[in-house]
Amino acid sequence: MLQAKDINLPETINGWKLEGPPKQIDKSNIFDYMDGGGELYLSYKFDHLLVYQYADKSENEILVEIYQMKTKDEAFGLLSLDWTGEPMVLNPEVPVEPETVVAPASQALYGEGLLRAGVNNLYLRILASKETSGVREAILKLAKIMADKTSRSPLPDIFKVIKVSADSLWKIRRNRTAYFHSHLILNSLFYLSHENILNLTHSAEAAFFIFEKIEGALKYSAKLLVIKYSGTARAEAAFRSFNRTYLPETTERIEKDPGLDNEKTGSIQIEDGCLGWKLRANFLALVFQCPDLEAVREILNQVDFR
Amino acid sequence: MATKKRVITRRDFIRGTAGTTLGLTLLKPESMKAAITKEAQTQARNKSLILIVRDENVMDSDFNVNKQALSAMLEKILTGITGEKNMKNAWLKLISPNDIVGLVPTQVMNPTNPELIELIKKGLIDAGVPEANIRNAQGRSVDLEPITALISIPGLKAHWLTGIGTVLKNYILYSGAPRNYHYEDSARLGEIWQLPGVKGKTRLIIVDALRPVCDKGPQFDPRYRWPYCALIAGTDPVALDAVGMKIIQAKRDQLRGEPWPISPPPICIEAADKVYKLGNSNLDQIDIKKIGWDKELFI
Repeated sequence: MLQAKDINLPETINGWKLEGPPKQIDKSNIFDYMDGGGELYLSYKFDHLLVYQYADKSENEILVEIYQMKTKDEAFGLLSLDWTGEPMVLNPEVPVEPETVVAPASQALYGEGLLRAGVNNLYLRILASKETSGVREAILKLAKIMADKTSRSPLPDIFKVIKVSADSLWKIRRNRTAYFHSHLILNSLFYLSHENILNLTHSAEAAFFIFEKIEGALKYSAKLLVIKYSGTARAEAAFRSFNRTYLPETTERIEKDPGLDNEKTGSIQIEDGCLGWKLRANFLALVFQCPDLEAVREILNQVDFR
Repeated sequence: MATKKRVITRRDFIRGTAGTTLGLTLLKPESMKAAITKEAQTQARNKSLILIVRDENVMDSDFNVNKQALSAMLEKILTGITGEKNMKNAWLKLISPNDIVGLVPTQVMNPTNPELIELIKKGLIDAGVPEANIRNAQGRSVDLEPITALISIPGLKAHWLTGIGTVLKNYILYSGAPRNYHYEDSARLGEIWQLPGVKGKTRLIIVDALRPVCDKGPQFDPRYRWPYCALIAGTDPVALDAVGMKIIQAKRDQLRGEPWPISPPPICIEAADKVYKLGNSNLDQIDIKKIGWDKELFI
């Protein structure tokens, strides 16, 4: 694990001058620093944040935020919330990770004066107050100083449950894949309920995917949510909570369902399409907005909890 | 007998029952419920007037504000809202020189442009309000008691916890506990407008929509900020947020080239209308007047 304090930023870089020592932000003062944005970082396993500031002669600023997260998965999760932007290579000596079918391989993304990067357990956010000439180069240079010499970390383990079927026309849209622990994040990706009806906490891991199927001029889309709970009882309790709140018409049917091979699966047509579920041990998968029940089956078949 | 708490879900929004569910869930304590119900019975709800004034030259290519252009926009806002012929008379229709006026800008992340705050302050002084009686009224520690008139000047922005973080949310610090109004409780933002120190004091709301933020708010990501070059004003906070939401939604869809819904849906808007009776959330009940630049107006 990397320590934010071990990163030595230069006093000057491309004409930009470092303005004093870093500000340290932790759980106790994160809301003073960034208002409701603090919830975003606390919804991941946040340790602390160091904030540096550079200024040029015209008083333009570059803000350097180094978020020290508790694991590398957390930094990946923060980056995964928005895969748009220009992919940047921070360390050319490190081999680029091969693309996977579930998520982009980007370690750093740049757009209009903002660079975001996941470097091991550090999440970097470098923001220029104005994208003036030369800012992009200065930001990239700073990011490269902070980049670890290791290649991008492997995807969080939960992604291993996805077993893509070559036979299926339903494909993952990689640049919408996200990793998180909180219903607040889920709601920013796909709103289910303002309440935490899936009992998501730091002890659970969740991955969100958009599947697409293109047939001629027609494009279909569905959402898949996969959650790994810390135990079977928690997974079952979460499924019951979801079921009673979101699918009350099926509560009796589901609670009486003994499951087959210790796995409960099912589907139902609701207002915005077909919804399906698969519950096995401490894993739960839910698929939403499928055009038909066959789509539910095809997508859930690409989730293997065994 | 305690009633079982109803949980709002995506399905409520699809069915169009979110408002009903909100009504069953919110409105406690009973005293507030009674007061709002009584008030709603005595007030016939008219259409709300919202004015959008735009000028593509209000900022240069570096987004520096052209104060002269902004002043002209502000004049159009004030005369358009009040029907008066000049700025001074317009202010005097909204404010008395004896008022203690609190200005409520957005201070963090997507702050209200200081040039707009200065122009409003100058307009009030020109209308006869002593400078000493014009205060910054944004923040937790503001003493609202002596303030007799509030002018809310929020920046237009999406908010990742509440959907939209503009007008209704601009008074969140008055609650003393802003975290209590995030998550599912963002529906209760309207109740802050009913607090004794706040209720009935808002004379005008001017939304700074020069460079709104359509995603990731309140944390700033320049890719989601665009030069809309507008001031949007009215006296109905709910209608203003409904209009702001429509603009933000249209920009999001344009950016992605496909539907990109604001998420979570801003339940505070419907609750402010249906539960707290603060104004109109239905665009059919909002009279939107547009002046100036009409490119990508989105509404």
